[in-house]
Amino acid sequence: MAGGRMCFDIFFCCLVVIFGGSCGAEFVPVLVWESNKPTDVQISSPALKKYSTDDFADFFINKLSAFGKKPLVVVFTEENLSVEDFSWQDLAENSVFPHLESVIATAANVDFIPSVSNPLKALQRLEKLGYQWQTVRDLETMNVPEHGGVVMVLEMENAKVDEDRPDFLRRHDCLISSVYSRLVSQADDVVAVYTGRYSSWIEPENEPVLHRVRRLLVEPAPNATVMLMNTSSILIYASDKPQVTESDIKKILTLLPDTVKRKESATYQSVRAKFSTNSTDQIILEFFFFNSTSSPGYWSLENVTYYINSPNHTNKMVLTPESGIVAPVMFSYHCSSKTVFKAVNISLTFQNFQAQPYMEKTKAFDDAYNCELFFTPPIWSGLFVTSILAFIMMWGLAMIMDIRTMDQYDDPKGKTITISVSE
Amino acid sequence: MLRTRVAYTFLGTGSAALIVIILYYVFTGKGERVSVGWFLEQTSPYMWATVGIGLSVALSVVGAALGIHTTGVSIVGGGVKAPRIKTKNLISVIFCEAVAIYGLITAIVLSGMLEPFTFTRAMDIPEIRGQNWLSGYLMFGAGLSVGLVNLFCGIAVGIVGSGAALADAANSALFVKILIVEIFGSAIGLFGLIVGIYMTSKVKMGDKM
Repeated sequence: MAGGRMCFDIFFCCLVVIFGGSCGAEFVPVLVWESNKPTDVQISSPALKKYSTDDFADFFINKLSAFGKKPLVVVFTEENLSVEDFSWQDLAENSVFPHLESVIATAANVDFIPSVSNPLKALQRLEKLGYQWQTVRDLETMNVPEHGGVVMVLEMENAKVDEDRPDFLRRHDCLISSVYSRLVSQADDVVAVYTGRYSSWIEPENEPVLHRVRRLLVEPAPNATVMLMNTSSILIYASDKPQVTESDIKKILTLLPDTVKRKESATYQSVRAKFSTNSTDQIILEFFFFNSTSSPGYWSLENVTYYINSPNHTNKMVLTPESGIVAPVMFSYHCSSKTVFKAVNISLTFQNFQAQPYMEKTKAFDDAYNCELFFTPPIWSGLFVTSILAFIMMWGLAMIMDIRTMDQYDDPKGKTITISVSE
Repeated sequence: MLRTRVAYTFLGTGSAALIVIILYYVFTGKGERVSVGWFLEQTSPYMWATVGIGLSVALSVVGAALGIHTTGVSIVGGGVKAPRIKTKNLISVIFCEAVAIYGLITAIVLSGMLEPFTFTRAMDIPEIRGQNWLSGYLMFGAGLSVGLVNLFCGIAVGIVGSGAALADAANSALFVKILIVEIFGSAIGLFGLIVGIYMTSKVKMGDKM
């Protein structure tokens, strides 16, 4: 858990370093306090205002100019710091900076500015004012300067591998308070600054990522009126119960799933199934899928044989599809409008029909050849004729643009020339 | 230049659209759907026939117009200083006009052959279907051939006529010899007409065999 949190932080650091390096518009909090109180120089502006580098530089220089002689400025910098670190509390409502809190309680002129852009750059301007810049690398060999006018920069090291962020900040808290107390004991005026280079808080995304999965073969709900015929190599689906219109009598067929049988021969595969209606008729439909010899590699649903067993009569009829149902092997055929099979006086209608024979596994339909084309023949004809006309238009336009009038010697204000006609 | 930019835009967008559409079909395994044969079979013979008729007269007239434009401008220009050329050089204009008449004749002949047919009867009887589709393609081919031949013939005769007018203006002995060049140019227009008429002899549209 702690290790995971640490990796998370390190990842955030890397991310923030990359982004901070590129955009550079990071806002970090700055905590400034002094050991002595020269005058009442306080920053007075709205609390949540974002300070630019220049604004912060002006404020800090004003603060330092209130001192008689140049004070000792010590800058504690973290790699990442944000306002949330200061307001974080554990379960016992303790913050991460207990020592810092006690230091500030005794300090003078405490200023906390929640968002400043690049404060370190602002502090570097102190060099021009005569302050000596000193970077402290090793705390043991740190020598406290005798006089003021020095800016000591303490870059606090990065977190250890298995350290939590609160522990990491507490460690720095101890470090800051120890160094500060050492400096205060030896120098007169100390101005301390605690800031970071980059912001550490990144809002996580709240919404979970939605993955939408498209299914070709929808699992039917238990009470759905879906027709699905599944045998070892043929799959037929319709989203609604098929409807038979025989001599103006409409019947709705319900598939009896146990009666689905498959037959195969050299030229075709067929599937037959029994359907029940609301009357006592029993209807058998047999779908014949031929593998096309005229165009090899294609299958076609040539006809549907319709057997009716009613108490009055038995009948067999061959219904052919209104528009050809042809698709290559390894593709299914799908039509979202009505698929109609017709014979004299009788028509069989399916809604959202999809069929595929010659399948190896009938787990799902393969890609569908739709009955609705994107580019229908009329669309192609229109494009063909329009392109001819457009080409002619372009040629005409090009010719018109090429017209050069003979106006080299034209002078609208001059005399019109006259030529004497001589035969 | 605007002309090249327009041409590149037109061709560029056309090619890009075509490539994207074709590659979509190829990469989804439906490459066979990109089928010129399907397009030719499914489109109506009326479209082919009427486009042929339109192109025959339109392209011929464009050719004649370009020719007359070229030669007319030269005659008018040369006639300013040498007015004697104007009557003799009208023969160039007549040669150009003949080209337009060839196109007109073909269009009228083709329009006479355009007959309606019943689609269901054509679907039931393959011979009727074959006949009507053949007629459609024949009329398109005849119109296109006559139109294009007359287009280029008209342009050629016009340029030669323009040269003839200016040469005649300079030296009147040259005109007769240059006219021979123009006659040869005009003959190629006649070739287009012959081929077009020959193709249309096989046209038979309608519901009867």
